[in-house]
Amino acid sequence: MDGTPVKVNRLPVELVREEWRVVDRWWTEEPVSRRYFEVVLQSGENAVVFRDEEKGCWFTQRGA
Amino acid sequence: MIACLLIPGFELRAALRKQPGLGLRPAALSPAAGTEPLIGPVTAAAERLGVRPGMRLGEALATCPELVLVEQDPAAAEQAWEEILRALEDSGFAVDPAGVGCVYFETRGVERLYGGLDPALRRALAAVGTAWDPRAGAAQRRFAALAAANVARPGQILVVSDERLSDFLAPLPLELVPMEPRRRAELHELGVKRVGQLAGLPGGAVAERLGPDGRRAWGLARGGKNTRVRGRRPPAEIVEALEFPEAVGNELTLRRAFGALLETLMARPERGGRFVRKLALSARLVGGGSWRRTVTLRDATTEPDRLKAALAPKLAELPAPVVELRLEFVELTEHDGQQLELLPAAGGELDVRLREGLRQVRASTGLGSVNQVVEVAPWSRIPESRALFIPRDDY
Repeated sequence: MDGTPVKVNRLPVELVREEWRVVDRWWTEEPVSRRYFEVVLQSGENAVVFRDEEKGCWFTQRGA
Repeated sequence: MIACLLIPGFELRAALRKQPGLGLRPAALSPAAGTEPLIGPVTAAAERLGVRPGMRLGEALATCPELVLVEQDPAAAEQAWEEILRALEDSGFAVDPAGVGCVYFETRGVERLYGGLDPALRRALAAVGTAWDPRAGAAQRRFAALAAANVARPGQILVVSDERLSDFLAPLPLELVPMEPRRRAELHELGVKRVGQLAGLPGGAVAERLGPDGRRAWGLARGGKNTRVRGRRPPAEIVEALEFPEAVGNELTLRRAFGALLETLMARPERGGRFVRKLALSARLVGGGSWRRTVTLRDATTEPDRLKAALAPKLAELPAPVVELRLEFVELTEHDGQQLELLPAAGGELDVRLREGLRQVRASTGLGSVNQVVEVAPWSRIPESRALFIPRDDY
């Protein structure tokens, strides 16, 4: 309900370690507005995901 | 002694050979396409009207609206220069060219041949011919010989002894000393406009303020080093040309023509199995100009793929369609073997195996499949902007 991820690629999120926002390029025709989460999944794996506020969908961040 | 034979404004003179009437009018060598818009050498008529070599094109045309711009013809200049060098070599001079229009040679051997320094230098001027207005300088040092040649009038010989050297150089303009333009501008701002003023400065201070280039210029202002002049190796005669019935601008067609010229040259018996060290590609352009690119290989080779890789990409730099393409093996060499390492560097074998693996990946999946990650903005808050994939088709 507060917008934090519950599952990542069908794996439940055990813990949200950190959250941050990136708002950039707002002066261009391709602005970036994202809400990032660093989470620990049930498998013990770390993952970084973000919700793209412009596109309204979730992505997994690789190599972050 | 070291002699310097100088033909100022050689490229303009070479280009004007086809239009001799322009020699008496205000004319200047136009800037090459894609370079800074600065004019090259100018005729005496243009100089009288206030136009100077190196002026910005707009400024030159504003100073002299009737100024005629002469298109560059590097192939003609190179050919004319080569004819002059051969004429000197045929007269017994072991020439050391320093760019078109300037050549050095030792006088010791030819003095004996012609009975003295003055007769030898007269012979050199005669070999060049009066049409080029050559002038000659001689001194114990290379830069001093160049300075003397610059001061001499057309057809004149000026000899400067070491004892007179500093007095001779002192009043000469700073433009005579080769250095980066911004270094020269810095010196002008400091009020240093003569060679003697630069020579009189403390060397350490010059090096600190102007860097290695300034330090080198300071050394030249004091006469320069006592270096030997070595005659050049005789040039190769191996040239092939292809004339097109219609001007060709398509790069693919030109690459195929280049490949055909290369194949023909490699099969020439005059090559005698020698390895190619330096090659030149030139073109006659539609409209009358010319274009030339020269490449010197670090390792002499006979592999056609390496020769193509060295020179074929230059075809993309052609400024206009081509009516004739010409390939020349400028310098050939006997291969003297390749120095291998006794103990390869740590990781060397792994590097070789990695490269081989990448080559196989590329061979099976095509160009663009092997990429390298290159950091371009590691500080970016947007993670995918921090690095780029760059295709590496050269592994």
